[in-house]
Amino acid sequence: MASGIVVRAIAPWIQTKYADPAVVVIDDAGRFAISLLSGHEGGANRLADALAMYLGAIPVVTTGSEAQRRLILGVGCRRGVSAERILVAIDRALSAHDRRREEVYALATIDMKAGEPGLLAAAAALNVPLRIVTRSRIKTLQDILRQQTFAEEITGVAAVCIPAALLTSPHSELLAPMLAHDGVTVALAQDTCGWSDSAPADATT
Amino acid sequence: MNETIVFDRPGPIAIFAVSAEGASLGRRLLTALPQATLWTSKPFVPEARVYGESLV
Repeated sequence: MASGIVVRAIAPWIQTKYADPAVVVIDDAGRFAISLLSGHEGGANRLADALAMYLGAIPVVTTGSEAQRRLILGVGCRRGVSAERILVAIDRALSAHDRRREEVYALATIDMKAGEPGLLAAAAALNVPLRIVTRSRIKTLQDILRQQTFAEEITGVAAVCIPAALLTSPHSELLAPMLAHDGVTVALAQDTCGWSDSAPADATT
Repeated sequence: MNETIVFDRPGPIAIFAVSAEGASLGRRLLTALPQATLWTSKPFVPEARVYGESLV
C-alpha cells in the first residue's frame, strides 16, 4: 500500500527505536520493499531485503550505515567449500580493488547454491544477506553475452535489444528470443510485478 | 517455490492490504512467512481477516 497510509496509521503508536516493531511497506505492484520503521533494532532493514528478494522487488533502506555499503559480490563455489575459503577469496577480490568488507551490501549466488553452508556462513560472517538469483535469469544473461555479433562491432556492446529490454525494469523477464528483421532487432520482456501469481521470484534465505 | 523468510524478532507478524492487488501480494508473502497473519480492508482473498476501511 502507499507509504502515506502506513505513516498515518502507525504515527500514534510510535515510541522509540528500541520499542517499535519493524514496519516494511510494499507497494501494490510489488516493486519496492521499504524499510519504514525500526530498521536496525527492529530488523526492518533485513526484513525489507528478504521480502524484496522473495518478490523480485527492490529493497529500499535509508539508514546511514547501509547507504555506505554499495558492493554486491557475486559468488560461485563448489559444494562443501568452507566459509573460511570463501572469505579468503572475497578478501582477495576486495583487496585487489582496494575495497573493504564494510562496503559489501550483499553476497549473490545462483539458486542451486541457496542452501550452501559455506556461503550462508560467509554471509553471516560479513553480516550481509545472501541474495539468490535464479538459474534461468543467469542463463538468459549468459545467452546475451554470447551474442557477440554485428551489434557489438557497431555499438561496442553485444545484442543491444535484449539487455535494454531486461535492464529497463529490475524484474523484467525475457519472453521470446531476439527477433532480427531487416536491420532491426526486437526483444520482448515482461515486467513481472510481484503481485502476479505467475511471477517467478528469486528466493531468499 | 518453497523458500521461507527467516525473521528472528519476537512477536506476531501482520500483513495489511488495502486493495485486491495488495491482498494477492500478501497471499504470496504468506507462503514465505507462514507465521504471519494477512489483514485486508475487504475479503479480497479467503486467507485474509477483514479489518474494515480504517486504513485509507
